[in-house]
Amino acid sequence: MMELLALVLAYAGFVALALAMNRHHRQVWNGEASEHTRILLRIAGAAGLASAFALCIRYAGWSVGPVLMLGLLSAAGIAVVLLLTFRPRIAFASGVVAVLFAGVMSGYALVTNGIAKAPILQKLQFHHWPAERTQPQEQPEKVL
Amino acid sequence: MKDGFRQSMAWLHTWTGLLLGWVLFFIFLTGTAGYFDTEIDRWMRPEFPPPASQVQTVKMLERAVERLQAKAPNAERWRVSLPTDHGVVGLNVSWRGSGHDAAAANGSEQLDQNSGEPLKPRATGGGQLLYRMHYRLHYLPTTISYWLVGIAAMFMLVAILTGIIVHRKFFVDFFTFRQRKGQRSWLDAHNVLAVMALPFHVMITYSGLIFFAYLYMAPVIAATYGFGENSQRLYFDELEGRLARPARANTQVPLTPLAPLIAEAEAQWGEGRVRSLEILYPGDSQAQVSISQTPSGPLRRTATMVFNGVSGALIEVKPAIRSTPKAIRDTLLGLHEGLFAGPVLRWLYFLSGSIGTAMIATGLVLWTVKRREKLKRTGEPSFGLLLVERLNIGTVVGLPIAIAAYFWANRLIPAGVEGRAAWEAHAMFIAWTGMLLHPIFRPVQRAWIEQCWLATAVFGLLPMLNALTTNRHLAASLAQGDWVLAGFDLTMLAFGAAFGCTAWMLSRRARDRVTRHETLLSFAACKNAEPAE
Repeated sequence: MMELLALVLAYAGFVALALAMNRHHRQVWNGEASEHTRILLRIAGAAGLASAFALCIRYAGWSVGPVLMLGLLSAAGIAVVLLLTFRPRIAFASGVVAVLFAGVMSGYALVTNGIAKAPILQKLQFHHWPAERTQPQEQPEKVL
Repeated sequence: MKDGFRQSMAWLHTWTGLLLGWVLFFIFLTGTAGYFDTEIDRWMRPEFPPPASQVQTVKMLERAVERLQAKAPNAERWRVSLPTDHGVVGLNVSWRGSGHDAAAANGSEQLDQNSGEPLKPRATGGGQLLYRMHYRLHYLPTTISYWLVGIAAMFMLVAILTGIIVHRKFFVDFFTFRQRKGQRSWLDAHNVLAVMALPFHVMITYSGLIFFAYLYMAPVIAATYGFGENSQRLYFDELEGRLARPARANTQVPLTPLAPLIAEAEAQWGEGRVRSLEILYPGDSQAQVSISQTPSGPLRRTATMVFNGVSGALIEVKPAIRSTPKAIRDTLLGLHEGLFAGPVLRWLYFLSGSIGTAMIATGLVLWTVKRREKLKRTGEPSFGLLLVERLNIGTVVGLPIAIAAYFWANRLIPAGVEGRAAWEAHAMFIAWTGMLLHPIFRPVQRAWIEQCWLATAVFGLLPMLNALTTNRHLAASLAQGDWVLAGFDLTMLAFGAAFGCTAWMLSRRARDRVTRHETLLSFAACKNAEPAE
């Protein structure tokens, strides 16, 4: 679950960084961004990536955290490229939705007594294998 | 000078990328599949029951040791791998013989986690074989394939570094993909795929070279240890700290109970953090029990507790880091293998590997598109271009089809056939050969479309074949919550869908081209037919 939060933040960060570039700004809105908007978008983008990185380090530690962060950056980056190619008009909106989603998620986690203690996060800790949840069941095997 | 430098780097990038591009594609694709080697193993051995998580470590280990006692009482070494070890499926025991016929007395077995009974799955190379192919190029001799993979990896590293130099607008084009622009689009795709996972590409290529560095740079070791197999063994024994091993006493003494040793290890590392157990000289008075920790990060060497096998006293705790250079090597190899990764990170590894594979594929296609575009002005294609175009089809779509053929063979070859496991792999390479030959007889455009449709069929129908030949079909595994098997079937469906979309897009585009052409012709015909006034 923590990875999803970090992914959403990284995605929002990349969207903001892309919109700070004239080429992509034009794809979304008509005309170029003012210097002021560009700086704001860059700060927002950096903040998104930084908070995603902080989350990764906080929950996966310094050894796995950076690996996880780089993996999430690849996933988020490819998503942003696809979005800007096929649905550029909703780029900004999707970034806003991502930030709201991250806000709701972390708000929920904080309300339930700190992110690490949130029951939903505990249930979905990332080193748990889904396979471990399966029931052992004996079944006769049909072999060709 | 700067342009000269960039141009020579571009030349280097083009040719290092192309020359072994298909080998690199093979290495990347099978290696990427290898991130799910144990999952593929399970799918290819549908006889295995779903793994049981409720069984305690101690119980599993005791059953495993009972089995080893019955199977190989005189072995030199026993090894028990627990399901926490992502390198093997479920509960696995193996043993090493002693004396002259040591190799003949080696063996391994897969045990039921509940009963400790050996499982008798169909003979198959499984996901492990598929994963091993990416460095141990199936039919080639070991040393030759390590060298070939090493040369390919070196080419890749050169291609990555020169690629960074050649890429003029690293940041400006960071998010840029301009579709439907021919060569421009292919270059954009190649760049985006390269840039978005650049740290992964560099890491995987560099660490891949480190794996067999002892082979590529043998003289470095030979300078201290001398040449020859024995000196190399001495080097590895020293490196792994195996020299201090005691000699066998040849006196029969029963093995110490294992439960307290496991308890001690789990008290130290946490419950469920034991990965494997190794018993040296079981039943001898010099017996030793080593218990290893599950890795929690990229450092693939973990702490090991060594106990006296008779008294059960702790002899030593070998730390994970025994020397800095070795720890750096272990970390690089651990990063490469990703065995420490949980499900999310494993999918991200898979995604990064796929991005790398797609980067190679787009690079190979770009080479042909560039030359085709030039041809519009100058005429006849060269033999080289025609060859590369065909190799591209047979590899980029043909190799995935061949891997699907490997899975099909797993379900279709009857259980009793001699050399069954070998024939699964033969089926893969026969299919690949077929896919490489097919484009020779077809126009390029048609060959892409036909192979994409074939890929759609072989991947899309795989879950159906699974349902027909076993009772572990998608609905059953979903109902049981068996996400490994369900995940495999769903992934195959997704691949089928992806190939289907590609085939559909390609054929629509081919049709469009024809239609536009016809429209132009008819337009011209109308013009000509108009009576001049």
